[in-house]
Amino acid sequence: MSRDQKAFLMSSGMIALAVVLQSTLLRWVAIRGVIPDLALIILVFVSIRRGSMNGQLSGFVTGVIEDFLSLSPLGFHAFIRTVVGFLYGLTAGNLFVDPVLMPVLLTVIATLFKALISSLLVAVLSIPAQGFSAFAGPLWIELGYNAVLAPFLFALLGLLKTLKPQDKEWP
Amino acid sequence: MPGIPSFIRKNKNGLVFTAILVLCLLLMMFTNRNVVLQPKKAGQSVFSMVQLSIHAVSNWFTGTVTSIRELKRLRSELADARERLMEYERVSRDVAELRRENRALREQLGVAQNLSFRYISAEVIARDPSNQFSTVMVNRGRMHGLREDMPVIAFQGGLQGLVGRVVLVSLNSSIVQPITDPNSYVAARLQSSRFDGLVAGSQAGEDMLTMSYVKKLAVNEVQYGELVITSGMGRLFPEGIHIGRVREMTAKSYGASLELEVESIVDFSRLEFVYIIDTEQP
Repeated sequence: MSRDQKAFLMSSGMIALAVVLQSTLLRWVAIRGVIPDLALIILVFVSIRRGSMNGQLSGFVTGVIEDFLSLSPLGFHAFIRTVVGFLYGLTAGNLFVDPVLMPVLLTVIATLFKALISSLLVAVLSIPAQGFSAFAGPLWIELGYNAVLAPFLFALLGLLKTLKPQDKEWP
Repeated sequence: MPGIPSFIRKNKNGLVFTAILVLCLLLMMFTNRNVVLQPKKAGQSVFSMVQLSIHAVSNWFTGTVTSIRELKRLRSELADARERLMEYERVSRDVAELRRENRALREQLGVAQNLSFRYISAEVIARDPSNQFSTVMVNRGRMHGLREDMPVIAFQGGLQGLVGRVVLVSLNSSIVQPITDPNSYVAARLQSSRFDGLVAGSQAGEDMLTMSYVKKLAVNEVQYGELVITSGMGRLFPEGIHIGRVREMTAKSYGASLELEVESIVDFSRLEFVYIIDTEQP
């Protein structure tokens, strides 16, 4: 198995685990019913390290799992996570990621971007979702939560050898 | 045509990206608007197993750690329960008397007897993994007799409160849409003043609901703290289940009806056990 395939399996496994944790254990640390999006932070990390192909495939696979566990139509989270994974992957190798500022900045932008895409999908496809209506309270709580957790998760994930930056093209 | 393979090789990333997005859009169009296809149910069945396992493991840990504290609490609760039992025995005698009287009056008026339904108990095993949807997953599915649109209730604070309705049933788990979801609508009635309205989830989130289409005449009769119950209209929810209490009242001068802010009886952040009502099998 090549290093890229290993990285894909590992990143998808971690994001899938984060999704399941978000629906179970993380409810205990919810602030006003809002939980952090660990899956998004991991996806951002994986994409800027391993590139677009790994990012979009991991985003798609884990988005589908999220759709199975949610009331969302199949493809809703898969779409959002694929777009995030692809776009962040385009920056792979071009960013200097410091321990604190960049993880926070990248995660904040990803959370806002996710809110924007989901609001667009909800509006265009008339999806019966609570959504981030008018970018109200829940979005800002999630934004803050993600921003606080990002440096810690980035530091932890940085220890994994399999997710070291990409050195060759996807086979 | 040597151009095509080299084009594919060159634009592999973009082509895979486009293919995935098209697939996602097609899936969304097919599975949106409650036309839920079988793949979604199959996926839910598989991944809810993982949720069930994590829930069981975490329950075991928290159960072991808190068991000593729990024992202390249970002892004091036992003393309280004994006292309450004495009180209930007295109330029970009164109720039996009232029931006899009620039956006699109903016979005189020719009103049909109230139906009692079969209750299926279930445990909440997971919530929605994202913040955009507000669903609750329970550990009962088709194999336990659950069907879509069954009403779900919970007992909290001594009251039977409406939780929501079952919207998606797989083999061993089901997804419940809570009444706090902005897309949930319940035909409701004010318990004392008897005015009808429609309760919907509030965009404000948490446990607040909005009751609309209440006649403006009710402005002088509705009391703060008055109970809101299901009216039984629409046939989805049986009559008389508690929904919440009136917290705010808004009467716009140009509007033909009142808008009430209702606080849900059920505290959704503490929801652990629920009961699904089988209205077809008494």
